[in-house]
Amino acid sequence: MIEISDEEIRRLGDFLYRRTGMVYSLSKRYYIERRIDDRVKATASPSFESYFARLRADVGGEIEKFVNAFTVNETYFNREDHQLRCLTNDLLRERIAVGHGTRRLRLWSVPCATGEEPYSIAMWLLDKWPLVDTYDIEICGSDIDTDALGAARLGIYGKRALMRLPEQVVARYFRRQPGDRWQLIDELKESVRFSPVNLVEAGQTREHGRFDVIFCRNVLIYFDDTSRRIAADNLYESLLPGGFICLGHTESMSRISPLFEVRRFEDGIVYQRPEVGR
Amino acid sequence: MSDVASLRIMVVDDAALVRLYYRSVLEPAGYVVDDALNGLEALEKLTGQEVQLLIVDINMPVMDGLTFLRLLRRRAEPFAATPALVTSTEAGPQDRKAAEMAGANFYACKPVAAEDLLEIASLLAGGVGA
Amino acid sequence: MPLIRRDAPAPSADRDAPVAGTVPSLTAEASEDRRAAARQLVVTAETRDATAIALFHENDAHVLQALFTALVRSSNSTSVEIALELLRSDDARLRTGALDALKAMTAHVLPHMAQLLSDADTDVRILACDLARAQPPEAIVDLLGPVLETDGDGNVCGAAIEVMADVATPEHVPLLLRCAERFPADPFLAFSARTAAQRIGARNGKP
Repeated sequence: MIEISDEEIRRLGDFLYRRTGMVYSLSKRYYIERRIDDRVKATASPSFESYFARLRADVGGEIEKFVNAFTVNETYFNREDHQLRCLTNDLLRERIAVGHGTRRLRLWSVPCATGEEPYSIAMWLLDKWPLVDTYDIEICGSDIDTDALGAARLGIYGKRALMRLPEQVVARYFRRQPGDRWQLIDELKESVRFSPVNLVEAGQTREHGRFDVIFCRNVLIYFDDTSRRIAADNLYESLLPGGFICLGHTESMSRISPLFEVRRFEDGIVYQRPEVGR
Repeated sequence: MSDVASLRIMVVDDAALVRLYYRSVLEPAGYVVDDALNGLEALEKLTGQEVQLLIVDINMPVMDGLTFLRLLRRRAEPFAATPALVTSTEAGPQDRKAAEMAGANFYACKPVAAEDLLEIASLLAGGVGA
Repeated sequence: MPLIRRDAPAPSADRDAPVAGTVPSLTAEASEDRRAAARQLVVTAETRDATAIALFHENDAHVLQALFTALVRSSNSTSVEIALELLRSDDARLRTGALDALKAMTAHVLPHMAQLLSDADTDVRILACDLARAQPPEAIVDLLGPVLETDGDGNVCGAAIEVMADVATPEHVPLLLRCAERFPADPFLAFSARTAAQRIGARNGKP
């Protein structure tokens, strides 16, 4: 495998952080080296340096390919369960404390792809949140890909998508279909509203109203500077004052937008729209 | 009284070579050095790691050094009071004043000489000196 | 079991949905209204003055951000003109906002780069070096070469070396070292040029 110095990893990390907002820690060194090695081989680059030059100039869309190597595009249920824990342990508690008596909570999963994330949220709340009966919870799932949305509405998944779910959760919310497929029960499917959205279009995000919590994972890193800042602005507007937005675990708002405040909880970093008057 | 070996300094500067330069001066003197590329990243890291001194540049993307300091000083957590050295290419009295008003403890013009850096670090971070 | 409502009531109107018959104002009293106005702003020759004045006077960070985003969204010569003026501001927040906006408008900025890099104000030249970073690698080398050869300010040269370090090739190493030699009293430049040279050398020499 290719050998890369700390210095080279830092430089690559700096470049990608500036360009995409993704953060790489030297503590994940082995993982990073593996990915670089994959891309060096895939591009038949004679050296790390020639690969880095290729990456800088974004030859053949290399930045996106490199980012893809880190984001594991295969989705599955309960993919980032630390964020789900953060939701029920911390975020919802704060949202209901400021709720001023309203019994409604709105959550947005965007992009939702084929629906694993918003359905995971629904199941998690039903199973883990003691107050789930006391509040009207609206869960929206949105994506720019209408084919994915179609699949999400059908709610049929293969075994791999279910791999992180405990058996009893699968038994409770899914029905086995022929061909090793699993379909969500109707009540679960009806608990998420799916809709198309392009995050860069203010008119489209505005139509969705404002949310208490937004999950927006691993999409901002793919945008160029212009689109990313516009999307961040639209996402800000889509939050209620005091609302939270969760990014992917390698993402940081620190290269994206100064609009949000940083909040660190036990289960991770979350960004917040300031409350009114702060 | 802390052992100098455990004193942490966070360098908040967009320029990789500047961060490396400070590191090359501070690490041999026993300090542990953390990096942040802009004010927002610094705020984020401070929520997870205590440091004894901040070295903050003014011109950085997304969030400049003075805005960062103002936001830092308004926070409720203990790290809000972390001593800060502001560095800048500007030398005028109005800029020093602006830095002071934002919450800087010290102000230095770039380029900062190694001896000055070590002396300030020792004063503000509580190290045993150069 | 169905504890989650599907037919939620329609979401309440976002305050920046344009209300028929009114023009949102950049000078409204409430910051949320000014931000809403900024989000709808299209930067043109007609709105140029109102935009520049708003940027100059605005104190609320969230409104400012929306104004800068308006510049980027419009991305035209007027946007660039306004942002270039703000690079000279005494307010660090405005300089940062302007620089970030300009970095998102690279094609429109390129024609101005040579002039910015030879501006009389050293702080403008420093920011211009950072701005060059957003240009393609070949353009960066062409733009910063002259700065390294002739700029009289050590901090400007430091900024140029910083950006060159990422894109230069071994043939540029003598240029970097000569630049540092022009400022023998500058402790940082010698380190910077040497480190940059090592990086470039290391880069191209590594198997």
